[in-house]
Parts: sequence; structure tokens; C-alpha cells
Amino acid sequence: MREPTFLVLTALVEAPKHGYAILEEVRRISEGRVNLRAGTLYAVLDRLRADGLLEVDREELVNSRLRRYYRLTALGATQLAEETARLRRNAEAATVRLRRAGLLLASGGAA
Amino acid sequence: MTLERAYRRLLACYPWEHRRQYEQEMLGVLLDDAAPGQRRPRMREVVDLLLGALRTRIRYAITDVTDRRWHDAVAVLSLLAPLAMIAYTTRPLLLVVGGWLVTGYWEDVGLLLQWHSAPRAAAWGVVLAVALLNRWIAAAFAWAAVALEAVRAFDDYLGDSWGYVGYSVHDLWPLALALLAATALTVGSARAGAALLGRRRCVLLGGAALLGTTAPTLGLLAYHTPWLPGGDLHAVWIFSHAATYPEALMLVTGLAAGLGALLSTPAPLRRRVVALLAPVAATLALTRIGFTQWEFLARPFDGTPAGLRPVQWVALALTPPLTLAVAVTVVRRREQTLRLLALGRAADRTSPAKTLVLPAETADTAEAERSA
Repeated sequence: MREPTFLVLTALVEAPKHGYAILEEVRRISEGRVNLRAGTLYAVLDRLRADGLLEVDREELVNSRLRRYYRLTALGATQLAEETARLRRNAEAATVRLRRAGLLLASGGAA
Repeated sequence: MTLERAYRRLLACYPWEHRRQYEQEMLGVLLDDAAPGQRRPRMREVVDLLLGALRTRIRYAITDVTDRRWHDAVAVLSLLAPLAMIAYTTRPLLLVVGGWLVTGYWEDVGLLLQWHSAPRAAAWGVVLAVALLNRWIAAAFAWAAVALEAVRAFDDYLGDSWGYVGYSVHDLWPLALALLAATALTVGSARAGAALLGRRRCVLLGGAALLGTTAPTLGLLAYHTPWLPGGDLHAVWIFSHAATYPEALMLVTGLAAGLGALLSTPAPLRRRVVALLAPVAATLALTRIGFTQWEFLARPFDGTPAGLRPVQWVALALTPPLTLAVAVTVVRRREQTLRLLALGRAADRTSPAKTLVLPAETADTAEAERSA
């Protein structure tokens, strides 16, 4: 799973969100490191919808503009949980090896 | 130009299915995300939208060509293309045998054993026989037969066994058909193709192939039969330049049987089979008409044709893939139009005017108008 996909799914865990809210949430989650643009966001949303990981929750008209809210499906939640577990295992394995090699301090910084 | 209009122009690069779903929504996000006072899209946004449009177009095209109906067309072609290759490669062999029977001159029969004669035809026969048993082995045989076909095409171009340099690309289309057969056998299953066609169409297509294969030989035999009409019918045939009347009759019957079988398949399958065959037809047209009659591609002819120029090699390399891309797009567009027409008809049927209760006389008039 690529990082934008992972972050978009993560952004939708707690509540359904519309496109702009997802962009903002992704920036918040990644602490400003990942700044998705509309083109990338909608490529991800379209693919995740086609794969059944997301679905439309509701549509609203705000200032004569369509706002579509997306929510995570059960399949999307499962895949996100699996990906999170995989990343955690990889991160733990890397941490153990870095510590063993003396390249990582107990505080988490590089030696 | 306002910022909104600039964004709309960029969004117009997306495929229409995507625009129908997301255009308004994306426009809202782009405008919400714009900085206060921003007057035109930022460079990063432009690049992101253009790359997004390109990715989406590629993804939609891949989704489209990997759908079930394209798989069905490939399955049908994994049966038809080897069958056509057998017919094409066996024809000259039978003609040599026919000539031997008519004239008693048997030296030519030895030519059948050359690598580009009987072995070539046998290779496609094995491909088709194995295709109905195991597609992977059939695909391996088909790629070997493609290699043989490519060597034959190069041999044609570089010169014949008498040292005559012909630069001939006249028979390049069988290489395109062989490539199609091998690709179809790699991707699809001939058995599934046979099941899709059904027994009746398989018999018709088999009969068409048989007529196409045997027509020149039977024509030759008929030519030497005193009570049958003689004479040649000169025409640019795919397989031969001149045909006797009986041969022409058999070829037309075979063509009618083959076309009849193909035209009776469901329209979505038929459209896709024709689209997948388009690169072979384009190769045929380019090599036989384009390189001789189209001014910008024609080769100077001074007793023998000149070798291909770079522009002709490029045309040769690009024509089949571009034709395929155009044919796939045409099928997509055609089906979108048909879908919209069907939607329009459905909307028409449920229009409020239809649900009005008409007085008996008016209803009769309306019915009369409809039937008129």
C-alpha cells in the first residue's frame, strides 16, 4: 500500500469526510510532510472506491458546490489494520536491529 | 481567465466517466484549497492534475481492456487466428500437390519439405490441436511458429533463395496475424473461445477455413476438367492475385460462411473481435496499398522496389499498436453512445406524458400515429 493510500484510509477511520477535509486531515496526520493535491487525492479515492475499500456516505450542496462524504468500508478497515500491523512489525524489526548495532539511542534518536 | 475556469480547463483532461463522477467535487476542493487572492493554478497543481488525468486515462483503459468481454474476444481469436494461419500456410502446399496431380510434374513436391512450407503449416496445425488440450503448451508452440514466421518475413525482405533481393513486405500481414494468435493463446483459452462460439459457428468457421484452404487446388483441378467453365478472374485477393471462376466461387462461399458466423455473434463480442483484428488489416493495407500507392510512403520502383526508408520502418512499427488503440477507443465510444441511447429510451418510456390517461379516441389516434 502506498503512503497516500494509507494516509487517506487513516484519515477516514474516525468519521466520514469530504475531499477537502481529507486533504487537511492527511496534512495533519503526516505533520505537514505529505501535502496531497486534488489530482492525486481523487486518483486515490477513485481507485479505493473501485476496490471496495471506500464508499460514499452522503452528498451535500454547500455554496452551490457538491460535497461528497466518503467512509471506510469493513474491507477498507481490515486492509488498513493489516497494513498497520505489517508496518509495525517492520518498524519493530528495524528498531531491534538498529539498537543491537548501537545505531539507535534509547531516546529514539540516531547514535 | 478566472481561477475556476482555469481549473475547469485542466479538469477537461480527465476521461468523461471520471469527470461525470468527480468534476464538480474536484473543482470545489481545488477552490477551497486555493490561497486567498490566488488568480491562476500553481505549477504543482497543474502538474498534479495533468499527471492525475494521464494516470486515470491509463487506468480506465486498462480496466476497460481487462473486462470480461475483451477476454471473450481474445478467447475467440485464440481459436480463429491459428485456424486462419493453418488455412494460409496450407493453401500453397495443396496447390503444389494439385499441380502434381494435374501435370504429373513431381519435382515441385520436394519443395514442400523446405522449412517455410510444410513445417510452417504443420507448426500451426500442432498449435490448434494442442490449443484445445493445453493452452500453455499451445502458446509455447505458437511463439515458436511466430519466430518461424518472422524469419520467413525477413527472408522475404532480404532476398529469396536465388539471390534476388526483393525488399518484399507484401506478405507481412501473416506475421501480424501470427503475433495476434500467439498473444491470444497466451492470454485466452481456445476451448473457452469454442464454447463461446458454439458448435454451429465453429462448424461454419471450420468450413470457411476448409474452403479457403482448398479453393485454389480445387480450382486448378476444375480448370483442367473440360466440362467446367475456365478462365481467370483477376482481382486483388488476400491469398492470390488471380483466381479461376470455381475458385472465386468457393472463396466467396467461404468468406460468406465465415462472415455469417462472425456477424451472428453477440454485438459486444463481434465489435471486440473486429477491433483486435484491426492491426492485422492495417498491416495488410499499409504494406500492399500504402507502400505502393500512398505518395508519402510509396517506394521508388526501378524494376525492383527499393528498401524501406526510415519513415516506412516507423510506419510499420507504429501502425499496428496505433490501430489497436484507435479500435479500442472506437469500441468504447460506440458502447458509451449506445448506453446513453438506451438510457434516453428508458427515460422516454417512463415520461409523464406516457402515464397520462388518454380519452379512448385520443389513445386510438396516438396508437395509429405510432404504428404509422
